[in-house]
Amino acid sequence: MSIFIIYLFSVNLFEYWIEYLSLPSIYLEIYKTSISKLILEYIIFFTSESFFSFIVIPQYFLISIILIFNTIILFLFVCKKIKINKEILFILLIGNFLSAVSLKIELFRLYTSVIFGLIGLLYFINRINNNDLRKKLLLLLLLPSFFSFCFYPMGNNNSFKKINFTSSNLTIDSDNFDYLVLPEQKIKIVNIINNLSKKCDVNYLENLTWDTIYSTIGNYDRIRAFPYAQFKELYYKQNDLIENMKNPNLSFINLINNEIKDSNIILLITGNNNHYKKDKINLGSNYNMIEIDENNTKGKPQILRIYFPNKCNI
Amino acid sequence: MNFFRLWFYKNISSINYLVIFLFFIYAIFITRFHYDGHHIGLIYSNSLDLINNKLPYKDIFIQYGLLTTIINSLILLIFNDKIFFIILFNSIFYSLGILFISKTIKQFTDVKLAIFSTIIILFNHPIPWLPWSNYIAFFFISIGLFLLSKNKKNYFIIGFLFGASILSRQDFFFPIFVSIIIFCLFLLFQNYKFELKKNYTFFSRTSISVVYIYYISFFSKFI
Repeated sequence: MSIFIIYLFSVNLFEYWIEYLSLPSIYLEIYKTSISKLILEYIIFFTSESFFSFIVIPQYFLISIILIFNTIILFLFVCKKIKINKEILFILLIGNFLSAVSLKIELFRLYTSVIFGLIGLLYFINRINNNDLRKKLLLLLLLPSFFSFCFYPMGNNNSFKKINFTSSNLTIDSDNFDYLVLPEQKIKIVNIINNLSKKCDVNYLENLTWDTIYSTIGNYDRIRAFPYAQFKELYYKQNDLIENMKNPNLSFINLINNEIKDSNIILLITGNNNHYKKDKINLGSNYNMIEIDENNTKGKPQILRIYFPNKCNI
Repeated sequence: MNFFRLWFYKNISSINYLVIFLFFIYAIFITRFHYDGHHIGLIYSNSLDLINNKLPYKDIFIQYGLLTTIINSLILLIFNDKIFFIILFNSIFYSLGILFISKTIKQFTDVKLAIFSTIIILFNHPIPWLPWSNYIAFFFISIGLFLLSKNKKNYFIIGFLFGASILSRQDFFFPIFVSIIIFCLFLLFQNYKFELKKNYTFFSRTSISVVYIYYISFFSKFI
């Protein structure tokens, strides 16, 4: 901790770090909610809804049991009805309070925070003298978990459901992606940008798409702090906060336009990301463009436009 | 049947390791095929930027915690900038986190419940979703709780591990800090004054410096 503080002060980053502390309140604005509303929704969800959605998301069941059981134990302890080992008391407290990092209810957040409460839960189940009751309680935890794994063997992650396990015949030109199996369209895009980077002597690559991976190809510098773009109006405050730290004097669109004039930048743009507020990227006759579909899904094209200076012969 | 039960109980610790290892292999197999350009790209981009001497927070958008970026940068430095190794180490952190939870449960109960905990966690959440800061913070807290469950406690190391979890993911500050405060209050009101004195070391190592920063940051808004 001390090293962290000393480091921040020594490289004059302390004030920037402090600015980042306002991000959670900006996210609350983005999600149009408040802390109290999130807490209330969280409590309601894990005392009722999680049980009703057992068939669809059985993973919530274990979390609900942990939260309810541990809260009751803590309540009994406060009322001096039971005595608790002090280590277990701390684990119960931390298990319950870690809910604070999972208020935006997502399984991976819960299974890396609230799950610590399982230690307390199993400790108390183990202390039950009635053998039959103890076995039944353990079955109550085991059977839903077994159900979870049988019907959702990849942990109920929607993103995993889209995985295509057949690998493409295309080979990727970059070593950085070794051992990974990428979708065919992504391989094509990575190869195009990689090929461009070998023939284009420019200093900057600006990624104005949602896919951050593109910004890492070719080892270029970039103008913005964000390596991806989210230019919806809701995100203006977040964008302004972060971008003003890196470029306090001029908007990043103006800086990009300056580099375009010098033919010193490659641009990757999807949708309307060539606009930010009232500023617009001005591409002149010194630039060429390649279009490629990111998804290759019929009826749902998502066109990536790659702009590069004429001086790059590809 | 009796022979099988005997063998099972004799090798139960090894079976626990084996279950965790098998799920680790399974997670690696699945995540190799998983493309999430935004999240994985953000983690990868941050780490590359740090290697390229860009300044954290000013030039790099570090959303969760500097230690996550530092750890991932070290992995990239060792493994020649290959994204796969960030994903691999994320799975290692998750698997070790589960191992330490089961070891903590073993300390408090018995080895059967330890393997039981491994199974129910892995059946519900078999694969780490993303190479995200949560899994690194989870790993540090798991070890911290394991060391806390031992008879001989080193409060300095425990405090250091909780501090590391906060540096990996800043959001963990609030729950850890509040838990420690309430824990100390309970000890105070339950007349465990000796224990409170001992736990003060742990409390101070973990939180005083962080509180100091937040205190300054809060008041700096008004200055």
